[in-house]
Amino acid sequence: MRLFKIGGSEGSRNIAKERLKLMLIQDRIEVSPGFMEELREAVLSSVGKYLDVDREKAQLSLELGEKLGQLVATIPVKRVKRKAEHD
Amino acid sequence: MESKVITITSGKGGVGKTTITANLATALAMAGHQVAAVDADIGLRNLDVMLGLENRIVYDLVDVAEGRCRLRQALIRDKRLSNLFLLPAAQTRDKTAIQPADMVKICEELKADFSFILVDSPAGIEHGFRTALAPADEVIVVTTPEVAAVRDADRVIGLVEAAGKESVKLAINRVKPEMVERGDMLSVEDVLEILAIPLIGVIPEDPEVIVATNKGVPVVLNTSSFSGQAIKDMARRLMGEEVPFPSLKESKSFLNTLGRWFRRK
Repeated sequence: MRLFKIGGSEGSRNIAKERLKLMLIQDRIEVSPGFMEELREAVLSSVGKYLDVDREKAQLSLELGEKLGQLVATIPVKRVKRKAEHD
Repeated sequence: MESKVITITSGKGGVGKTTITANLATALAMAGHQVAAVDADIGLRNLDVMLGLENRIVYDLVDVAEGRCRLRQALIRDKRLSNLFLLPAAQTRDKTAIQPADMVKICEELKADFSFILVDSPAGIEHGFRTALAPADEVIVVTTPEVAAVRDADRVIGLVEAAGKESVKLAINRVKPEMVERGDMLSVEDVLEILAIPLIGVIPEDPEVIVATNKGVPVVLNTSSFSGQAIKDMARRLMGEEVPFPSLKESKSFLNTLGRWFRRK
C-alpha cells in the first residue's frame, strides 16, 4: 500500500528540512542589514594576515548554491606575505 | 509571583495562536491564578469564540483605549472559572485603532489584578503584531511542523529579538507523530535545530480541538484529551515548574494506532 509506505531517509521530512535551511539563510541576511558588513570586516581582517589585499575593491556576498548557501568573495591581492602577520 | 504579560504570536495565520491562548489562559486559571486573556486581533476577534463568551461582549479593547469605558467594564468573567477574564477585541474597527503605547498602558493596569496576562497577537508582522508585542515580558512563538509556518516563525523570532524581548519560547502545534515516524513530517528536533530557541510546548494534532471549538469549551477542560494535557504541561512550565516533554511516540492516539496497524502489513 503506497499510502503507508515508510519514507525513511527519502521521506519529505528531509526535503522540508533542506528547503527550510536554505530559505532561512536568505531570510536571515535580509533581516539583519549590519550582518554582511560585520562578516566582510571579519573575513578581510583574517585574510589580511596572510595577504596584502585591496580592501576597497573587495566584494563579499552570501548566495544560494544548489544545496547550501555559499559565501562568494572576490578580493584583489596586491602582495602575498611571506609569513602570517599577527596583530 | 510577579505579574507577567505573555504575548502569543506566530507570523503565519492559522497555526493555532488563539486556540493556544484560550487554553493556556484556562489552564493557568484552573491552577488558581488570576488570568486575563487579551484579544489584540482588532477586526478579526476570535478569542471570545474559543472561550464561548461571544454573547457577553459589551465593551472592547478599543473602547478602553479611547476612554469610552473603564477597563473593568470591558472585562468579561469566564462562565466556568471565576478567576479568568477576557478583554475582547473590537470587531468593527481595524488594527490601527490601537497603538503600542495603549496596549502597554492597559497591560500595566491589568498587572494590578492579574498574575498572568496573555495577549493573543494577530497574524502578520505589521502594526497589529507590534502592538501586541509592545507590553510583552515573555513571548511565545507558535508554529506547526510545516515549511511555511517555520519560515514565518523564524522571521518573527528575529523581529521579537530585535525589539529587545529576551524571553522568547517556542510552541510546536499539530504534531502528527505517525507522520514524523514515517519520515513525512518535520520532527520537534528538526524544528528546534532550525529555530534554535527554547521549547515551551509540544501539542499533538487532536480532533478533540475541533469539537471543543464547536462548543466554545477549551479542550483543557476535557480531562481525557491528550492535546489538553500538552497545554496543561505548557502552563505548568510557564508557572516555573520543570515538566519533561513526553515522547510523542508513546501517545496512543487513534491515528497512531491505525498507522501502526497499517504498517505491519
